[in-house]
Amino acid sequence: MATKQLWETRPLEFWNKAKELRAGWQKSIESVENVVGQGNCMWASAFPAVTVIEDNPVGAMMQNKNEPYARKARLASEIRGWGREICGYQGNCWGGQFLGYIEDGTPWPRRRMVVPMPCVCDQHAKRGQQARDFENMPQWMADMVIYPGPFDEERNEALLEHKIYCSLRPINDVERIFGQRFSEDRMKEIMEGNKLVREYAKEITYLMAQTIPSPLSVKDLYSVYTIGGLTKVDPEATVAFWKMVRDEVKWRADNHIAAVGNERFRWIEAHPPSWHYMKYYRYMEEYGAICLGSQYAHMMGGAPEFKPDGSIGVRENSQYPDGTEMSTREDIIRVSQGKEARSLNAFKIDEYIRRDAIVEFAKIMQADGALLAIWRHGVGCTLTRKEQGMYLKEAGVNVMHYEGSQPGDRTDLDEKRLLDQLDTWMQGLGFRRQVN
Amino acid sequence: MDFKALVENRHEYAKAWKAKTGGKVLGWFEPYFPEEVAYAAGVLPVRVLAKHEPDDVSDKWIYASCYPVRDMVNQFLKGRYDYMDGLVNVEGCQWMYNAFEVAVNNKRKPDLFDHYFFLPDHTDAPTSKHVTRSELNVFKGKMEEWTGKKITDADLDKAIEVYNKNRLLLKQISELRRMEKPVIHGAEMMNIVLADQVMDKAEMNEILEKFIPELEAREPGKDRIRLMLIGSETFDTELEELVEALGGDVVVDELDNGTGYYWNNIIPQKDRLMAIGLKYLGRPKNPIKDNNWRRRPQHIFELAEDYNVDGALVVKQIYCHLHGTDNYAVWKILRERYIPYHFFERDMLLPVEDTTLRLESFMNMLKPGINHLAGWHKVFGED
Amino acid sequence: MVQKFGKWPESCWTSDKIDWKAAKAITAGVDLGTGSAQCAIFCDGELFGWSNLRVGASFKQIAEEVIIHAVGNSGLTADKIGVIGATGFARDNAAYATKKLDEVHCHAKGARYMYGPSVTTVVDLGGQTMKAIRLYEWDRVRDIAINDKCATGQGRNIEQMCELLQVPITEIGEKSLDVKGDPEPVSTTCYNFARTETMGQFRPEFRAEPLTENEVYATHMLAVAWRMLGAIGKMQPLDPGEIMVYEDLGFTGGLAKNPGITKRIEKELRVTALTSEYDPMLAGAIGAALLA
Repeated sequence: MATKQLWETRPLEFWNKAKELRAGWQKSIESVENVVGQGNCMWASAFPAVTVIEDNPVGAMMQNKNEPYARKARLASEIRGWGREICGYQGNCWGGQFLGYIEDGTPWPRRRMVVPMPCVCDQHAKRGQQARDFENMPQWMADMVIYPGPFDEERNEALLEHKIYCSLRPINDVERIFGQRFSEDRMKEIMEGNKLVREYAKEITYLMAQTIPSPLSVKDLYSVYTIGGLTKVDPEATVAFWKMVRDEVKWRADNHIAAVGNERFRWIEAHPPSWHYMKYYRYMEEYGAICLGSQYAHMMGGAPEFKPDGSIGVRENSQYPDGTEMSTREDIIRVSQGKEARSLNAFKIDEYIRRDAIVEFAKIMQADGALLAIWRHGVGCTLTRKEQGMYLKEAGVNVMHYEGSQPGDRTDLDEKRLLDQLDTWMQGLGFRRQVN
Repeated sequence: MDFKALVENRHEYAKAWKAKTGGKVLGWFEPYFPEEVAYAAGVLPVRVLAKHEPDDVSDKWIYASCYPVRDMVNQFLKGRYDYMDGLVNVEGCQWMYNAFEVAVNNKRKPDLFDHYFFLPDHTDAPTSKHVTRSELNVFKGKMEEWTGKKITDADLDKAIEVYNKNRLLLKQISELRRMEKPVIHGAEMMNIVLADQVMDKAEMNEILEKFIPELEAREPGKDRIRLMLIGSETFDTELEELVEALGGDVVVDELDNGTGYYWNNIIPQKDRLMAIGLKYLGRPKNPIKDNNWRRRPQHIFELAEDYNVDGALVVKQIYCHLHGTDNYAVWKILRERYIPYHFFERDMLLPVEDTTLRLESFMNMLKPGINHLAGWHKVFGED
Repeated sequence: MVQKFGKWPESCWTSDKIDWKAAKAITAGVDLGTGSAQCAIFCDGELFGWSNLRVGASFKQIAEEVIIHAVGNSGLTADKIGVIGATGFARDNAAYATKKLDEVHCHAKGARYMYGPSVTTVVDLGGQTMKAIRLYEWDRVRDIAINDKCATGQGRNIEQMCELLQVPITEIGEKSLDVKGDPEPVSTTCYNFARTETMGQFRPEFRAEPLTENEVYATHMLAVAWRMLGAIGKMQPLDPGEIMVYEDLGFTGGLAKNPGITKRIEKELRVTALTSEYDPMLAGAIGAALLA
């Protein structure tokens, strides 16, 4: 099947703004010496002088930008006790702490507190400990509450109280230890901003899912999707940026501006890609194959699902209704956590609530195929992959697996072999590469 | 008593137990599973153990993961555990959770009962005990529904008594390993603890009560290098046996399914479920539950001191992410307290040559003055 | 004759100056490894003869042959050697051995003989195992670290790559150093991945320049070196706060003769390894003879 140009394409206008915000974030984490946290902690931004650093993007960027440094950092972790098959995000980021310097040779910026992300993946839960073991700083642990099956009111009560406690404790402690005042008003603003970003992100997901040709590929989405989430920048700027992205994607969808001009094959993934080798997206585009992303890529707007009437909506997320009174700090945290204690993000839906949810995601995205990475060094991003592949195949979706170490670790990713696999996959389906 | 045979015949034992009692068998995976509640319902809790077997069917369902987990999946898919009427998993290792989930999802047994018990990873919070109690209550309800038997306080008391007694007996045996020349070595001890996890505790208690006097009457063993085993769970005694063959002895372990299994007891209180919950929250921490204040390294150090070890073997299953992230703190305390250790990765099968090389060299390194290592002291020592 | 790219040349030497018949004590050590076997014979503490042979199908046969090659035409026979220490993977095949010794201590002792008493870090790069040994200033082993599963950090891996790439083992190391800068290494956790990745690198890269032949070798040598650094780094310092220095470093084993590996390790450790007049493959056998 030939793969010639079918639709108009245009460069993305939000690109430069994304680069600017991202560069600003990068600068902020390299220079901040004072109060830096780590982990999935929205509350931290409501402290005036806390800068949040998430180690996932830091680790991924290290591998992407500076392979020798990332490798050295992982070695530094390995020789101090971390397994050589431990997630590259952690190995890279915290190995840097062991080395004592960052990529350009300047000293490792000292973290003043650490908030390990609770068990979205076991390795995440464990990672922040090393920071505290190494440099003796305050650390707060929490729980990512999970159980399989439907919502259970009886279980929820104690679990939710536990979760609220785990969020309130560090806020009170940061005030006590660092003498900073948590701003309730600021927290409310951040929550409001997050809500707007979620709405924009959700709309972007729908536009990608419903429009043929898709106005945006996941490669483009990945360039921006951490902004405001994993890479925290100014909340107002975040909202303005996501509105800008939504507006442009909508305009492109309305005007049939394609992300891939020869779109003929739509495919999805599961969980993160190899951040250090994103070339495979472009390689697939030469076959007219566009990647629409994964549940992970689209989790910012909430996991999409078919509603009983056949329309696409967001999975019930037990948010408190708009206008719920938030007069105390506890009220605010309660509202921020939602009514269900369980974490309903994409990881947990896959693993604990409905393993075949990916089939529904493939249908929503109108996907013809799925390329499922299996990572040898990442428990959280590998756990269900083979099973998902089985369910997708049963549902008639073409599936290809490929192996690698972990999205932030190129050790075991044989790039040539991956491209060979893609050739076999695509050519087996009757597609031919169109090289410009 | 041949405890190894008890471990090897565990499937036959469980099947015979079912035939004899008409009761249900509940398989469990994670070391934090509160067996007492199931036992109170008249159910036989049986630990799912991995074994050496070619893994030829699990690849369709799972990728990577530590070998024990792969093997568990392999065994489930091959029907080795078909006699189990239900499965329960506790929040813990994700690979282990995957084995549980695949065992349920493959629908080999459509009527298999399953339950997931959320025991907080953050065990230190004041709310953790309420979560655990609530989860215990939910699990108790599930057990009642499944068995059709109301679990009374008296049932719980009986179960607590049997389990507490069992742990006390195991600890009694463990104390004998503190002798200068222990009458029981690591391999036999590990087989006892493994057998304990797959048998009716009341029956096991009778066996242990008879066994302890026999043990105490044994002649003291010979001088051996005293080692401690730290790390991922193991489901066999191959390593301990190899250590013994080379003149050493694993006098104490810090494994989840070793000393961790019987180290602390339930302190009775009126609220039985709270009492059970506090026992599990307070047991020696495994890495995933030791993610707040570090308690595990200190516990390791105390075991090393109490059992007067010459050195430690820190052994991690390949792809064990929990020990792979926890070893930093473990190595650190061992270094700080001048306890020599040797780290290596293991798989389900222990390569004999490779492991012998390690163990032999490490043990030779530990021996001051080395008498039995031919010639070394002559050249390197005081001569 | 088919060229064996992956094997080091065999060699042996017997002293024509020492009269073994006049010696009060004759001791020998044999190191029967997976890829090669060595023998070292001492007469009254003086090195009398040695041999370094490739291992074929029979360990028993090679166990006999290493002695025969080491004694040369001197007339000395195994039954006249009072003490014979055996070490290595196949040491049980040395039926004549009077002592069986662990490899770590033999290599440590052998390294001190070869590199002098100052050596405190010994790295043995063998066919099947890689051992990092830390010694006290006095004659005791302080810590050991041995490579974990995966052949990437093993000599056998290099042998196989040499056969696949059709480049002699005596040349691959130097060639791999003839690059502008090291490219990224191939897999360090799986030998099979490493091998297929290496072979794939001869092909052009998607939207990038292909690697040169020497760069391909470099990717593989770097992976081996990196795996070894993982073990070297695991050796613990005596004092928890001590910064490890590796200045008195001695390589033993076959890979020690491969500068593509040793130079890369030296670069990361920021040291220059000690040198010796002896073939580093003899260390185990020398150590076994001295300890027997």
